[in-house]
Amino acid sequence: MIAAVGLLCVLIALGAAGILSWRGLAAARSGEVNRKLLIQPAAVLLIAGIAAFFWLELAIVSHDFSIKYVANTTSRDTPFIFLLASGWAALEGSIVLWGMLLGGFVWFVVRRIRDGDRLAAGAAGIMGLVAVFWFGLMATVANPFEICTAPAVDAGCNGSSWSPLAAAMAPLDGRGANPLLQNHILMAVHPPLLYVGYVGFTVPFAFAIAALWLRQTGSRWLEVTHRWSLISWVFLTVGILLGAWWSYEVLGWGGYWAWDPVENAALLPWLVATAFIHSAVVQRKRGMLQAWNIVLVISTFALTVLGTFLTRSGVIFSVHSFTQSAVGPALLWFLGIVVVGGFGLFAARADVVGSSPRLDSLASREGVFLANNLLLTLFAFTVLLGTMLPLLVEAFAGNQVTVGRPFFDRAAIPLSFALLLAMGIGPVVPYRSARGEIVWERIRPGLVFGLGAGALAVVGAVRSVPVVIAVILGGFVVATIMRHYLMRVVAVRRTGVGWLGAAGRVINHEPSYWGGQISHLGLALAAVAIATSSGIAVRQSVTLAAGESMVVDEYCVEYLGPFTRVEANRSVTGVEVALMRADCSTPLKVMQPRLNRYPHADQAVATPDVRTGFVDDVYLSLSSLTSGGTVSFDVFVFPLMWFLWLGGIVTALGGSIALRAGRRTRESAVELSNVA
Amino acid sequence: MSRRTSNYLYMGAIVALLAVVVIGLIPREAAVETDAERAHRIASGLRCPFCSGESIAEAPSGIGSDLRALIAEQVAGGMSDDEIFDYYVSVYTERVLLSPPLLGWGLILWLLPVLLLVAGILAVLGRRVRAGPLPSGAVLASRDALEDAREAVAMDLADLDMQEAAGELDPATGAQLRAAYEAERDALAATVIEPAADDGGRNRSRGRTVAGAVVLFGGALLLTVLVVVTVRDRAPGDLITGGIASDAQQLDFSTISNEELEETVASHPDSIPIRLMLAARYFTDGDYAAASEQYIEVLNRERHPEALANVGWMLHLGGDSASGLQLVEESLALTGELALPHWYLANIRYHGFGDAAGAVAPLDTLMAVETLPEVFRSLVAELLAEVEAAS
Repeated sequence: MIAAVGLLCVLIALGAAGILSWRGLAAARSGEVNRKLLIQPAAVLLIAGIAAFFWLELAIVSHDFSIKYVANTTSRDTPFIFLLASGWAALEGSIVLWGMLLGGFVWFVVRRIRDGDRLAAGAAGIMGLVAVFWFGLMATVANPFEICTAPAVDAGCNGSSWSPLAAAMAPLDGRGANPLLQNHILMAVHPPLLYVGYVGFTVPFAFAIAALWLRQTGSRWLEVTHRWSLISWVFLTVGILLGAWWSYEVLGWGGYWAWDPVENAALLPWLVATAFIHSAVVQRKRGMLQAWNIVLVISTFALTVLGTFLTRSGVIFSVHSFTQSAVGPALLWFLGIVVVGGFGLFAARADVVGSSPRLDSLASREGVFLANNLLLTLFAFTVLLGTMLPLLVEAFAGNQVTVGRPFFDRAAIPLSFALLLAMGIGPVVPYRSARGEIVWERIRPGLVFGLGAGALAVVGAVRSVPVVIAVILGGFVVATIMRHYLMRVVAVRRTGVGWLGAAGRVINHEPSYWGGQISHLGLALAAVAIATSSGIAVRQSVTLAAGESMVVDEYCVEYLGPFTRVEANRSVTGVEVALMRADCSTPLKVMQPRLNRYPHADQAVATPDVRTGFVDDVYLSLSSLTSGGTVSFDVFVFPLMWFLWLGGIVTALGGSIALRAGRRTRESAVELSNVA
Repeated sequence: MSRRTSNYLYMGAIVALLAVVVIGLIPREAAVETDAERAHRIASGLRCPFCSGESIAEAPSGIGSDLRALIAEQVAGGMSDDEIFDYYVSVYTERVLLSPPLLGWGLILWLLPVLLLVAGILAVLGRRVRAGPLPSGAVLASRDALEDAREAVAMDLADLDMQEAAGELDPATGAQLRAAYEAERDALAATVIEPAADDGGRNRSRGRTVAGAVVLFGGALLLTVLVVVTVRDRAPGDLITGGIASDAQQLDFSTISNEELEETVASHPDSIPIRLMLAARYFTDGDYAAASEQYIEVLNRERHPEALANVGWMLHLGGDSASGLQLVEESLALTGELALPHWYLANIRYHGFGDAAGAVAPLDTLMAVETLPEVFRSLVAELLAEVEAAS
């Protein structure tokens, strides 16, 4: 019964999406846009999407193992919070969540359509088409409400039927949730955040396609979708950050970024979206880069689909494994349609996207924006190539090859340095045609500060060249932004406002600009942390018997003994290690790196223990407990790790502040300039 | 302080600090890599087999630390970098190399980004810079575009005022820009929409956009078609492919030599049944090196229970009982129907860890299997008696 209702919700949503796309596209074509006709199917789509999602959650929470998804992703002893998270933790459920989020975005877009707005109606139609694809997946090859017809002997479901009316054979218990999901709550939180980012890019994509189709390629689509791009970007940023943090805190390998295809899948749209947010500024401010913005938006959306394909089709394990589920080929076809259709339409409308040359000089803010876009696009292209080439080599030549950290690092480090440099110089370079002296005057204090920080690092015995460069550039960016901000605050204060008032007013007058600068501050912090945590980290494998201690870097570790305990949903085997200063007598923390074992799963999940400090993090990861009573574990010391998390948060915060800018308010800008 | 003095002060500070940094970073003595550093560098360049994509240097699992120890031994034993890398490639195939080769397919990887960088720089430098005012009566595609253009030029003029007030522009440049913007504003004010008309300048720009769009479109189309076509499953008639995997086991392969099977797996690398057969032959012959090679190929494609169990057993025989146990347990988690993994489990627990009590359960499972061959049953019974006595 639950299955029938759930599938019905999916079918209703599919129908509503179909009607929405038909009405939207027809209205855009004829020009007779009637808001009411669009808002009806959008409302149905949203309600049916929410209903399908909650219906699935209900089935999970009530342990209805007659539904295959429930039987294979949960069990009776899964804690409640992870039951909820299982609703989106596996393939079919994640698509349901995706559909619901898309329904939400469609609703917010359609709600604001005014009668006669062809562009928005066309965009609603395109979004309807995208929703048809996702709900179509749910209704066919990724049906979350499939009925279990062949229960496994012990637990779980081996065979199923699409038809909700099939005779259900429920197993006694389910297979249990994925141990990695149960190991840390972050694993339940970070994918949905990424999804909001992924799904959100449907909005600018739909508007860009509608603008091309209707030949309304002016800057209006950009103005309308500005908020949506930023919201999606902020969510993507937070999602990536939490993913990195999860990797650091939960996976015991002592890092936060492995250039894994799944990580790259999230980084790629982020890079291109970042390029788009910058180039959109140039179009809104100077009317340049019209065609380029459309290319970037189509690419961003295509990369979100590619990311979903990479993470959800199994193609990463082997190019031939993705055909095991029909979802992989379906996603690949959808990607093909988006890329070919999007760029095909772009080619067909080439006559309306070329903007007249408005660039006054390359030595200007516009010029730096061009450099920034070149760097970000190149970055994205290199990561894309490194991620996809092994798949292509395997598909075409048949041999399995690997592209790993050495390649990505070698490409990412110089590109990141160039981006940091552009980040420091760009925002203080005037538009149009910059006077050299002005730029020099604005950057030289930052240069002195950055070089000073670098010199301090060198004097402090840092010998790693990339770390010193990162410190110099990071310091340069931070100091240049702070100087620029303080100058503005001082200028506003001269009009008789208090310090705090002035500090707030500067940002309030130009939230777009200052939001961006705050993001830059965050990125500079993160860049320094990334450099120090890989360039001057200490790593040591330690084998100790109980009571023995050893000095590692500035710390001393003593093995106290093993422990085991049973927790609500897992059994834990671990060791207690006392962390002390290098004198081996000042205690800091008793650390417990451990192995967590979950019912229904044979592989234990290694979980490290981290002590976060102001100067550095100490990170212990258990490798093995031998029968002889000794323990082997890895000790890592990562300097300045908290810079990375703080930097990530500040970056996302900057994006949120930029969101506060509605349309650029000319009056406030003029007022501020009069003040300055 | 005069402008000039402060400029000199800044210059001096920058040069001095730069000197500190550069001198500080010049290595005082020729850096000699210690053995540990060398082992770590080599381990960072090798992918850990049986792990989830980490390098050997990073892998937290038992296999990772075993391989790290092995690399440390090889380094201490005086093997060169190339010899060590070659050793791992010969055991685990090219797949263990994290850094792509500089030749062959790797060339694409190193070269394409550089080409794109060069093309991008040329494109940026080649962007046409506004030369004087736009011609009057310039054609705009639509009313929207005209309004956009009018708004943009109004904004340009307002911003120009601000920038001049702030001293951001050279006075001469400012005046020049103002003249250009004003001329454009006047031209736009006089423009009416004439979609059909054309002029040379716009034509050329349009031509370039069209060309770019066609290249993009064509490239995307080609790539999509190629990927879709190539990645599709091969046709069932194609000797041995994944498509007819289940049939392959029923054919009679007893007359086919190991060499022929080698050729077959080389030409059909994804055929798991054939690889398993070949591996099982090597395994029974006691040629563990050749057997591991095939089983690893299988495991790279699928966590096959037979491969997991046999690799686990070989690891145990090779002295790494902990990793062996892990793999055998993984095999049993996938299916309990194979007899050998239970046997391995009992033996590894008993002989590898001295865990006699733990060995009882898998042996009991085996005894309960009615179809177990008698020879095997007596072996199981023998061991069962031994472990029960021991526990």
